[in-house]
Amino acid sequence: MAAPAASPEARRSPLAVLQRRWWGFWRFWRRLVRQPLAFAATLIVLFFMMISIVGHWIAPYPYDAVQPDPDRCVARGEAVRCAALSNAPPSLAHPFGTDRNGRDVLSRLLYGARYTIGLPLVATLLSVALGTGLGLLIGYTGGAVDEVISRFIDILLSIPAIILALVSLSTVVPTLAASQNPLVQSIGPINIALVLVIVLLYTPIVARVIRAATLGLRDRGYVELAKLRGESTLYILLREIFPGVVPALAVEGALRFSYAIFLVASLGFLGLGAQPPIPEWGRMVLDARPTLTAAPWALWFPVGAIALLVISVNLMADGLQRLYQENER
Amino acid sequence: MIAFIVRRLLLLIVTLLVTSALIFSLTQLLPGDVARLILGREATPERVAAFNRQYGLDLPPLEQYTRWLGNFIRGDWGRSFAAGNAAVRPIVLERLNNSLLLAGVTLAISVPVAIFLGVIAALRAGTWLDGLISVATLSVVGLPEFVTGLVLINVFALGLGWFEATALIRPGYTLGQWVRVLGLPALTASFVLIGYITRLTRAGTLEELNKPYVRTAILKGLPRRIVIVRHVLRNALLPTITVIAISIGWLIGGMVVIESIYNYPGVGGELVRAVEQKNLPMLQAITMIVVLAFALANLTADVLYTLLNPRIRFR
Repeated sequence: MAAPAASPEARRSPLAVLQRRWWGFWRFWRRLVRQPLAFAATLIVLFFMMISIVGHWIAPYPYDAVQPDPDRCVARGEAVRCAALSNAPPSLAHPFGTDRNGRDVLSRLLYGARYTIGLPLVATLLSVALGTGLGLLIGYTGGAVDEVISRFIDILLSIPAIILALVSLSTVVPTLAASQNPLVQSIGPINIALVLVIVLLYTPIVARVIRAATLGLRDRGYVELAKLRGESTLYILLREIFPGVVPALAVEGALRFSYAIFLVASLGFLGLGAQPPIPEWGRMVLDARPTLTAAPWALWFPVGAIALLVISVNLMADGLQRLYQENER
Repeated sequence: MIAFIVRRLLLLIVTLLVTSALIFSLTQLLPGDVARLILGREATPERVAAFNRQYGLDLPPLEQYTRWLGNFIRGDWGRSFAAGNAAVRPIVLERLNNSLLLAGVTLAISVPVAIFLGVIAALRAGTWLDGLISVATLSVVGLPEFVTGLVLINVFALGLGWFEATALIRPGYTLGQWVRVLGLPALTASFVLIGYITRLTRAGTLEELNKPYVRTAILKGLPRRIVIVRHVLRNALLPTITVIAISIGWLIGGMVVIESIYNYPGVGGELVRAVEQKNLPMLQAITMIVVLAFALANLTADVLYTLLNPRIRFR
């Protein structure tokens, strides 16, 4: 986050780069520690992200395995057949209990993290990358291209996000499901559709934010200097302007991540996102609602996990925003 | 001012046209036959052909679109694909009515609470109270509606029994019955709005408090209450007013999840059903209505802002 202000030669010397990076990191760290709540929230978010990567390895049971009830088994010849352990309260064997189908809730949560956290993360990264590219380009070049694209973005943003999401999901999912492409089938049409919808919704928003940030930077002295040096547009965008928009990008990225989680979980809850037996957390809540009294744990653990995740992401975004504002002053 | 509104109205028409074209082309992407999707795989070719003729689905896409658009403007919003093939317009208008009612109640609850909390937080900036309000609103803003909704249902409907868990609307309700039915959906929606408006009010008030005119007012001996109500709030609430107008648009379309939790018969719930049933005429009509409401709310916000803030009136 160091201000890119020194002369080009000095900026390129390796020692100076190292020093600047180290100094920037140190300042960043000191400010972060001064916001214990945002710091703790960031740790929680990182923890959840880790779960979304390693969740299926550390889960004690497969997410869709029906757990046997040891008290209700009968031996039939060689094989022992057991009834499903449905709606079992939390115990040592099943710390978060089992759901109405007798599946281990903890294992489902651990496995489902990749759909509730991993998928929004991937989608957010994609839309941030695309939106940044677009925003830098139209903000820096300006002119008719900027005018046309900005108007189009305005129109796109005047459609409520959830409506756009619902309508595009309803058409993209069947289209993908009909495709014979093995890659599409192995990732899952619904997952691709969700990522596409998030990218469609958030790329324009990110682009708008980055465009505004770029507008504020493009007439700075060091940009003029780079132009006079005869640097290419690409170089100027990436090396001169991009570092300046990174703080705005970090804040916007964290916000988008929070909304993406929100959207995926909400669509799951509406039954329009992940489909059974995929244990996406919103979908788990939907499926556990009928057994609220028989197995409240199957409902409240996913609800609590979503709440903790979303609140943490928001506190993290807020912390980033404050860091950014301090930087501005 | 008039020129401004006219320009915005023209922009609104363009927006609606682009939206309808966008939604229409998205529905054209549906693979295979819509008729097959609706009638089922066993439908005879004759029935499919009859269905396509009845809804004009056998026409070329461009003609389908212009025909739909012409009919829509003239007030014929088509017939539903769902059982009964009812006309779309009365259903959508009735649902819209319900949604507007819910939006009104939500605003009536959340706006006073949010402004109060925001002003308190700004006046006590930096104290534990401000911190508490900030963290609470920040947490509430991001929570998916189904999370807050389920907690509220569990506490107030199943636990305490104060409100109904599902919202059935029948004519001839008494006031008490309305409160029981509307209470939880409105409260759930309020949570998000309160979080949002509180944060804005706090920021606006804080900004105004640091301006010289406030110091002047204090120095000339005005009581603190008067300074805040007459001087600070008048300026600080400007952005809040526009946000309230925008939230009306959000409330109409954004209550998809809330209406689904409580089975509330509003446009949001109807939209989810239309998506599930591939009920294209219903989908198109609801989208248009919601976008129109959203755009009108934005326009109102801009006009209000301009009217209340003479500094930008003649730009």
